Amino acid sequence: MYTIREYVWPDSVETAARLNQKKQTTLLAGGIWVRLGRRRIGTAVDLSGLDLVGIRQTDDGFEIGAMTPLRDLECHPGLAAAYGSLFKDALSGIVGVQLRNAATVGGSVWARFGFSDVIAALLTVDAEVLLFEGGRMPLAAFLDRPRGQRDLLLSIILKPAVTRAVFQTFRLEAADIPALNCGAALLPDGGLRAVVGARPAIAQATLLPAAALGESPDAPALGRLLADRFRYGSNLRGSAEYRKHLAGVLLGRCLQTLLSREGAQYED
Amino acid sequence: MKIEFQLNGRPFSRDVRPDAMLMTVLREAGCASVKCGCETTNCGLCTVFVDDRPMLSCAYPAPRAQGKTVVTLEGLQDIAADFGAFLADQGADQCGFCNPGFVMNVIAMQRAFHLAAGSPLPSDDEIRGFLAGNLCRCTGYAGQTRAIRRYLTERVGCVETADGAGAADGAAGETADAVEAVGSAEATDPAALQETTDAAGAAEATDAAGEVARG
Repeated sequence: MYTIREYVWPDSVETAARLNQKKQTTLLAGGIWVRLGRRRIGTAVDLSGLDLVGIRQTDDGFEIGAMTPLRDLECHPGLAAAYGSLFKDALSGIVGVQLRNAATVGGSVWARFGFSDVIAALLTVDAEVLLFEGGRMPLAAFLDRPRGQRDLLLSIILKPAVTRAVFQTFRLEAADIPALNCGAALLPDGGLRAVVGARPAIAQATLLPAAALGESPDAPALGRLLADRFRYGSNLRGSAEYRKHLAGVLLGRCLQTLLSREGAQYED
Repeated sequence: MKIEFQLNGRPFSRDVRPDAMLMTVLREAGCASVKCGCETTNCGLCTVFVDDRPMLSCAYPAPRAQGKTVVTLEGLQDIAADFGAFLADQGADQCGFCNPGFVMNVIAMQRAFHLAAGSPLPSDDEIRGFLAGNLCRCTGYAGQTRAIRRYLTERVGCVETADGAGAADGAAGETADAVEAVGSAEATDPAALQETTDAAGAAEATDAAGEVARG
């Protein structure tokens, strides 16, 4: 449990960002993870009153407010039409509906958890983030920035970077954090984008050019080839060797779905 | 700091610490159904509705409830008693500790799936998926699943469809190994389960493999 000296409702994003310049300030998004720690918070700034909730369909994609609950991504018809079951597959294993009603997409992205299914799924579709100070940048670039910056995440932007995407997450027990997660997407130029997360380090992406796919691509072999490009570590949910094997198999399955006719169905 | 919200249909106001969780405030207000079961934001026992969405009140900052509508099991006594009878009828609860949060989320599921007379009965996988965030350490969830299916068909009026039955069969198929391990093929047949008094062990094995086995 944390302690809070002062609980503040900012009247604008600008106010929240200004309050956030102080070290004693903690921004409260879903509040799930911070509650598990013992942080002594001087000023807790509640972001839930700002206009940061909701999934907006734009001309060429989506803008997802940082305070949008994970559950909304799972259930959004527009996202389902654009990305099939990607977000449902990626998020529905996270603890329970009640937690996903509280946990936010912005809180998950900002925290940069290694095990994050949210980040892995967003990275699969090459999402961008919009920061109050830092502006707009690819999620991958955001993840590479040093931690501890006192910025404020406003939204996640999805543009038509991929034509089709699938996700596989592997848990030792239902509702636990994943031992590994994988995503794969077809690019407009016919190439592939593959993501592996919970390695247990944070998700990373790699690309495979269309030329490497050949006439009749061998999905399991390509899965292993792509899995070899990532580094894996060991912890209580699995060894590095186990994770590498899993990644090969799961990426293979992702590619099988992506490259098959059945996988194309939801485009129609 | 002072907060005000609607609690079970009545205006409620209280001075709370800025770091208070909604769960604590609700318990102090006399809502004894709301409990903290796990301390790790996992078990679902503290489930309440905040603006109609099921939430873990153990991790919900109390000040955030300002102006919202909060409903606990105390505010849903009729439906709780009704569904509770189905749980008891199936022998689903043992110690009963997890019941309040579980019942809350079953009600949430009924609403989220828009279940009403004539709705197709959700598959066991759909039911388990929605309720995965409610832990029960006594049972294997088989009795609860039976109780939900009966409640939804007999009370709500859901209709078992060919699709739903197919999904349920699929779930049973996945767990065939577990069922064989305890030597009771009957466990795959829900009807047989309802009539077999000593099927609980088999049913637990079924669910452990099919759904949770949380240790």
